Amino acid sequence: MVPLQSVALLFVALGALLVVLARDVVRQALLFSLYGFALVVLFLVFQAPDVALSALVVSAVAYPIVLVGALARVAAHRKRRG
Amino acid sequence: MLPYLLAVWIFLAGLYGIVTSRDLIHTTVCVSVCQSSTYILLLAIGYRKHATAPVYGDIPSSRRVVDPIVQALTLTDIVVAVAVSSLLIALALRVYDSSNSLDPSQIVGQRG
Amino acid sequence: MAVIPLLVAIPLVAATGVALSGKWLPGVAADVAGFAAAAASVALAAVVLVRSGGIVTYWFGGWRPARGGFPIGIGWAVDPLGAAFALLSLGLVFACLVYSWRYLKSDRYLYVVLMLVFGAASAGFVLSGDIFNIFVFFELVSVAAFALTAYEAEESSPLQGSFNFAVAQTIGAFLVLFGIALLYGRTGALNLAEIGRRLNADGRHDGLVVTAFALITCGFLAKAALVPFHFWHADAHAVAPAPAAAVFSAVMLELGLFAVARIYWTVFAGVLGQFEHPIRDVLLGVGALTAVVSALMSGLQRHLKRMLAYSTFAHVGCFLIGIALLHPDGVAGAAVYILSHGLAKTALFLVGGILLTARGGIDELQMFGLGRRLPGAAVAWFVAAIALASPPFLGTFTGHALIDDSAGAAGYWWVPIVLAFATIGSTAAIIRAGLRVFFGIGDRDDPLLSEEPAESPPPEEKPRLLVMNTVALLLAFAGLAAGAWTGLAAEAVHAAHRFTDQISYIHVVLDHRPAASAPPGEWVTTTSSVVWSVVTLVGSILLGFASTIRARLPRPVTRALAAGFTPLRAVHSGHIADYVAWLVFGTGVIGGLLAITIR
Repeated sequence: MVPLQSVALLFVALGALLVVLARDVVRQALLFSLYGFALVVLFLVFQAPDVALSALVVSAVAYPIVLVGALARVAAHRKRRG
Repeated sequence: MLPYLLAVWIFLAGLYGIVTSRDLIHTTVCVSVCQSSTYILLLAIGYRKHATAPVYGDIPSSRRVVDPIVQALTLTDIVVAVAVSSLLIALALRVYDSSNSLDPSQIVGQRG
Repeated sequence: MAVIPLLVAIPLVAATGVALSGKWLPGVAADVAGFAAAAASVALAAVVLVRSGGIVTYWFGGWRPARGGFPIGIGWAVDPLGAAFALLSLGLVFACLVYSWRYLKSDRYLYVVLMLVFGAASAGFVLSGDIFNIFVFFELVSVAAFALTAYEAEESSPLQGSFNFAVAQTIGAFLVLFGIALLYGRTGALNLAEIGRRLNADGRHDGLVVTAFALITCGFLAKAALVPFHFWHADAHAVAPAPAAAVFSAVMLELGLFAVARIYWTVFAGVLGQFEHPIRDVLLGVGALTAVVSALMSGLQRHLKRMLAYSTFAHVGCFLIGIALLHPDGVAGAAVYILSHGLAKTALFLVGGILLTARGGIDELQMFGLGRRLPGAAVAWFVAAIALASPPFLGTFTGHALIDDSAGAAGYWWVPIVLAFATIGSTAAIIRAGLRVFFGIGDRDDPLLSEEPAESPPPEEKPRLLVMNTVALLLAFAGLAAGAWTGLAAEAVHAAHRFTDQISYIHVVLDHRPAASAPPGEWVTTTSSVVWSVVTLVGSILLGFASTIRARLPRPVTRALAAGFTPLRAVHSGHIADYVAWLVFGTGVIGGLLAITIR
């Protein structure tokens, strides 16, 4: 169990850094999705399956989709403006 | 100890992202990163070594489990996070609608 | 008392109903539902206040712990100060709902929903005895507030303010949550009384306890707009519709202070009691800095709502001074001060809304003389301003006097001076703006004021000026009269003794014992407090008149003054990145000071 936990911890630590440092917002949304999956794994190996389930829905799937939707709206707006 | 350090690390990383952010949507993602540090801290506090998940359906009730209360707290925290994140995105879009920019230094704010 | 949860549940249920059906209902129906729900919960809050003589507990779902047992359920513990706060916040929400009848044009039902949620959550916040419950209620207050700040979003107002507000408040909430998690890790409890009992039994005041204390205190101070956590609050007040800004000023900021006091006295008072002295010094320093800086800043604003926001921060600094004295008299002073300030400040913001509706502006110099034909608004403005100036035996006088006397007894001779400075500075700004707007007295230009704000056009097609004026006038006079009621001060002292008695709180909540008898409240006016109140009243009026013509000072003097204020102004950059940096810096300094002094 312990090695698995260490790997999960490492992935989350790196993931957070990558999300924060990504300057392009679309790339950041995708990275956040990956980070969300890393969090899900972390919650699983720390014996929190129900938290992992909700993190799977919220952090890994729903939130990035909403983000991409918001970005698409902004991009469409920009295009119309020229 | 490691999970606690990880929580602090993620919180600081999120703060760094906010402080250096040039885009309001980028800022909201960094706030979400900050928020995820609170989940990790809460779960770390409830974690017990060699314990299993607190789901009593298929394990004997004498089995050592991790603290279920912090998991309930984390779930509440995730719900709060959903509300706050969606509001932040909505606000960022409204800022964009009113000033055609997401860069805080290009938006005429309030000073003084 | 089974009615306790109802006073939160009724507005929440009504808000849900209005939110679901508002699209199809006529606007009037949403208004009426809002009035009815708010009025019902105000009445219930009054009942709870009258009957909460000791401390009344309520356990959700009947999960009342056995005598001395571990509290598994969520418990509320209602004491007189908490009940009075709930009554104040629900009452002001009701007044603002009445005032804003037809104030906003777009989707008014959503505004009613948000105000009801705001009122309900703030009431739940002050009544709860469970630390996580408190956190969730504060998040609910904050989320309602974020949405309210962006309410007039169709207009071209500087919406960045509401975004800054939301981000910074959320990070403040994380600090609180970190602190709560640490406390849970140490004690395994979330009930305030149980945490307090376990910390007392444990007796350790190591890094973990101090860190938790620092994080929770800083997180809630950030929500109460103490310097250097005030930036985003000023932006939010300026952006929000006037009635929403009014409840922010009168209720939301004070909730943060209430939480600091509540959690200190239920959780930390025992284990950190021996460090009362350094804790007092640190908090007094923060309060005094806030009072002085905000009073100066309020003199530099030309956007009326922003000016009123800084005036509120100056008073919030004074409230923190009252609480930081860590003595029942100081707490009682802060409580009655919060009451009269809340009423008067709400009236001022509502007058700002009247100006915006009837004259289409909220800028002091653009509105020069335009308020001449608004007698009701003018009377409400000046009455409320006088109420805030701590005139003898009126308005904020009792609060000032209690805090001054308590500070004098503890040897803090400088507290009355700081309170007087904050009062004179902030009230003079209100009087200056009123003289210019309502009477056209003074100069049309002022080199010391900040740059011209961008403001949304008036929100209104059919203003109900009569209703708006009446509400503002009633609140202004109520704020003035609150200080004349000396019996209230004695009641507050009595209630504050109860509020600050940790052992009695623990016994009531966990051991089902009756509350220990608090000493009967008594309050005598001292000569020095009357002298100080004359000083603040006369000083405010004189400085208010003088600052309408401050452009006539010799050129070098105004230039030097403007140059002196430049750094202070530059700090208020309007950038979320800077605000978060200040938040981290402030937390680091306050936490560091606490960590150094508590050993």
